[in-house]
Amino acid sequence: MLVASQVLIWVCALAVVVSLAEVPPTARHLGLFAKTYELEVTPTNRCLLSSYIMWIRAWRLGGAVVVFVGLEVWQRVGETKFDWGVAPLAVGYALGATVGEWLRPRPPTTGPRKASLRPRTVTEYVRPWVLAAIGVCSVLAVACTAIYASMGPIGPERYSNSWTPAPLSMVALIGGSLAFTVLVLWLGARIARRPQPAGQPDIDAVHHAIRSASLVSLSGLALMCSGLVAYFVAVRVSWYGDDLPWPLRRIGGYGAVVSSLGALVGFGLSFRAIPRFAPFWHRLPPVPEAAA
Amino acid sequence: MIIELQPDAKEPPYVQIKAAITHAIATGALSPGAPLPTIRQLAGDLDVAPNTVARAYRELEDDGLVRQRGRRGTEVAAPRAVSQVDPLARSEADEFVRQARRRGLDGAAILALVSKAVATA
Repeated sequence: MLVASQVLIWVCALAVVVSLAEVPPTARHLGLFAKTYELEVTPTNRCLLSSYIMWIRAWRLGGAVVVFVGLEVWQRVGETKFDWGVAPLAVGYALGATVGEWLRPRPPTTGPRKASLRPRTVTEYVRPWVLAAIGVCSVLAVACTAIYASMGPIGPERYSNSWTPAPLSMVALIGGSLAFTVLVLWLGARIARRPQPAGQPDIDAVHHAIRSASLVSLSGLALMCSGLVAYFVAVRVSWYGDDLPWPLRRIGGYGAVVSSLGALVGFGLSFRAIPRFAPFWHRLPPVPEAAA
Repeated sequence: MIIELQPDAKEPPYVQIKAAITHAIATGALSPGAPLPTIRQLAGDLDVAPNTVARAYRELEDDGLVRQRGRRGTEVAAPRAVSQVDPLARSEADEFVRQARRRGLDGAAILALVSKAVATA
């Protein structure tokens, strides 16, 4: 009975989120996007921008709801308990955003078949330090997991719940995080190559802004996830590694600080609601002059 | 630098792509070492099959105009020094340009003609 009610809540929450896909973004939302990406919203490109925002919003929220409520149901069915707080929401949001970007329909090609001979790369849109930070957090996570696995059980509380998982579970967590990072980087290269149909200048500009938004958001999500996972394991190394040699324990301490900063910046990148800080983390290359 | 495919042109798309890139190199719009878009990017933008762009790039490479850099993509090759070209070919080229100028063609038109000839002949 309890499981049935959970499933009902799950279905209702998903229905609410999916219905959100039909709600157009507010003028304030469009204005924030336009300001962040220096885009001039015109009557012609407004519908393209709105459809992108609605599409990606539905996938992000849908992913968060599916993972969060699905995990709740799983806990009820399996009678297990995870103390992960709102982390499943973040994971679901990230997965939803990734799938949404992956499945986003290709822009229609109308008008003359023109193309710029300038290659488009991820680093043209995302600042290199963001990609370097993703690498640093991933390396930290792997290093701290190796240290964590070498520590061995300490006391009865170790390996007893999700707070101090067994090394194999930790390796699975880090592996999942690394796989997600690799997937996001691969998807980023694919988004950079996404067709830039030639047409009117304002249509070109909106495609360009959407590509920029997708890449910045995805790299932010990768940084947030790798930072959170690295923080999760680094904190445990720092707290429970009393018997570790001094340098290894320090890796846990400093790693926790660095990875938490990375996760925080990743969070800001993925939501990027403050246009004033936008130039700090993303580049705005010139709009391809395909309509010239 | 923009290239555009003409839907009603007699040349197939790969020849048009090759001619456009050859012209861009000849006019200096693409300098030696300049990276070219990936095959998938250009194919997506022009809405043609990747094989079409791949064939254009392959023929440009055969002509010594571009070079593949493995995973780093394709870039414009450094031009062969004019002094290394056969003197007879050089004098024939000079004669062709002189005749074209006598016919009233300017430099851009001559380069366009040569680019097209390189792409198609």
